[in-house]
Amino acid sequence: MILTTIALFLSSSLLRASDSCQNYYVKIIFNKKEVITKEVICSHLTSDNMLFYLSKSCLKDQCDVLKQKKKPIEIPNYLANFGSPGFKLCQELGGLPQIYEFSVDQKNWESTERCLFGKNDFVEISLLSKGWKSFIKVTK
Amino acid sequence: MKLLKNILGFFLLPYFIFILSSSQVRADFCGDSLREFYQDIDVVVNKSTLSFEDLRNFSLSYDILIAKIGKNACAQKLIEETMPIRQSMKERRIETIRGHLKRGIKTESGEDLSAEFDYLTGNLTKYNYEFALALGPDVKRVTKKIAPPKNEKCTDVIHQNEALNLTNVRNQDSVGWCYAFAAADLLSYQLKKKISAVSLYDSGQDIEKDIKSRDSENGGDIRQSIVNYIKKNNGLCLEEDLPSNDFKFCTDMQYGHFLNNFLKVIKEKRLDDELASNQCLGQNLKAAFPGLNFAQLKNYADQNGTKRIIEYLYDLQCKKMSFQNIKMNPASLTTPTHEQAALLKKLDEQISNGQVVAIGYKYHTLTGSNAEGDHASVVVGRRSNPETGACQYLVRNTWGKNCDQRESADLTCHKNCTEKGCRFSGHFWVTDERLKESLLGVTYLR
Repeated sequence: MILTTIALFLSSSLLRASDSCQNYYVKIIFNKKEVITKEVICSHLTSDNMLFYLSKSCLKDQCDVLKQKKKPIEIPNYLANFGSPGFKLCQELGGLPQIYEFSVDQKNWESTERCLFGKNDFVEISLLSKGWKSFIKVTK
Repeated sequence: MKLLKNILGFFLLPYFIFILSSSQVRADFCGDSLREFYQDIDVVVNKSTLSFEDLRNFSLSYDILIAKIGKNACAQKLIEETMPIRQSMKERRIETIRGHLKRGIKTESGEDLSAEFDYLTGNLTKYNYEFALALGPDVKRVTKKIAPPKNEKCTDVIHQNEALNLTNVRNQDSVGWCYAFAAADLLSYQLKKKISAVSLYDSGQDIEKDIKSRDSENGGDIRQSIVNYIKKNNGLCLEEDLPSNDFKFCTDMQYGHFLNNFLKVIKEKRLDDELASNQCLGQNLKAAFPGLNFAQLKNYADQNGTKRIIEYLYDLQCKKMSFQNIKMNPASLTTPTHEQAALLKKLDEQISNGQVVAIGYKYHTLTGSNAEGDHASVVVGRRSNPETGACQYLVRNTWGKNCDQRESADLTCHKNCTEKGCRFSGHFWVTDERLKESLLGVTYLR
């Protein structure tokens, strides 16, 4: 009975793991050729089962952009028809937006957008949007 | 007598304290166990559809609870307390399977969905169900609120293929050419090949002027951008020949900024110096214009400066036209010539016919936000909302895989879900009424 309980506890904590990091292949298309590099990218599963990717340095809200307390921000033309709002948010938070593709096996590639902060920190733009959306004041 | 009372009190008091505290400990243990159980299931308990993995996680948490409380005095009470949530999970799993079977999905995680459905609905008793402890026959189905009647005219459908699907939404980045991106999506779906979005630029003014500032951009017409391009070039340009955004810059992370910086370099006659000293500009030019011949570029710049230089580069990239001699006949219905109800009717008709439809719309009306401006996107699907019965349309945006919109009863962001979790796809569902109120025009291919 006790052993079963212990086993159940252990397996359940493995199942519940919501953050993990691994090496991914990152692809960019350059001059019609594919350039593939390797990077550590971490996945984070939120309590509402949304999966996001970010740098190891940003896991558990360690990096500055995720640490900072959210407050109302004004982004001019945030939802105007030119430009992705996510990109504008990224810039407003001091980052550089980037589109890239990544894969664990070089077979199935997923493209997404991330916001780069300095050399090491990056957060998926969709995660930033999710967190900041309700704080953004839309101005002309 | 008084002494006897004191002595008795002296010995009995600790006994009573022990009884009280052990009851309290038992109550805390039961309460804590139940609290932990609810915390464990927090992730799955609010999901409207339940995957096999969701069920496994829920069942495991329930198994742990049962193992923990064992034959404790509170066990029966705890089991009864968890009944409502287990009933709710059972019903949701039944509805999830119903949806799968309707779509022709027969197994999930290697399990036979029909058998599971029959077991959960009480039509199959002899079945080795993995989650019998949590969701077995003792968990009776409750009479639930009757689901709204399905709208027979609003059948569920999503159109996608190798060129246009729920995993490859575009990102127009920093340029205001939503109409061109929508037009490219419309063509890509039809032709099953990704058409270059920026090639369809058609804002009625030189690109150089259009990208100069946010106030100078003009917008455009979806239908005209297709018609004018084919008329001029007798073919179409592929995204692989003239990329719109799917590349990495070493600086100037945004397409519009890169173009403006490039124009500045040309205007100031610094192209040679920049190419020699600033590797990034050369890299960015090669990324945006694959296979670019720099000698040709320099020659043009020397003779013409910045005058229509971007259009020149676009034409260079698309010299080898794909789909040559193509005959494309896009049609449009727009307000105020047509009523919004007529636009929606045409849109719906096209969706029923297996086509996707480009739309121009008032963004703030569609999303319920206070944003200004019109936008263009493509409608790729339709469904009857399982919870509200409302007819909804799936809008494919061009702002990457985000959920920039405020979600509400009228608008929900679409997600692609796997056993690992859910990811925003860059599409969103919107009710027919909300869509109709926002429509400025619909464009489709005949």
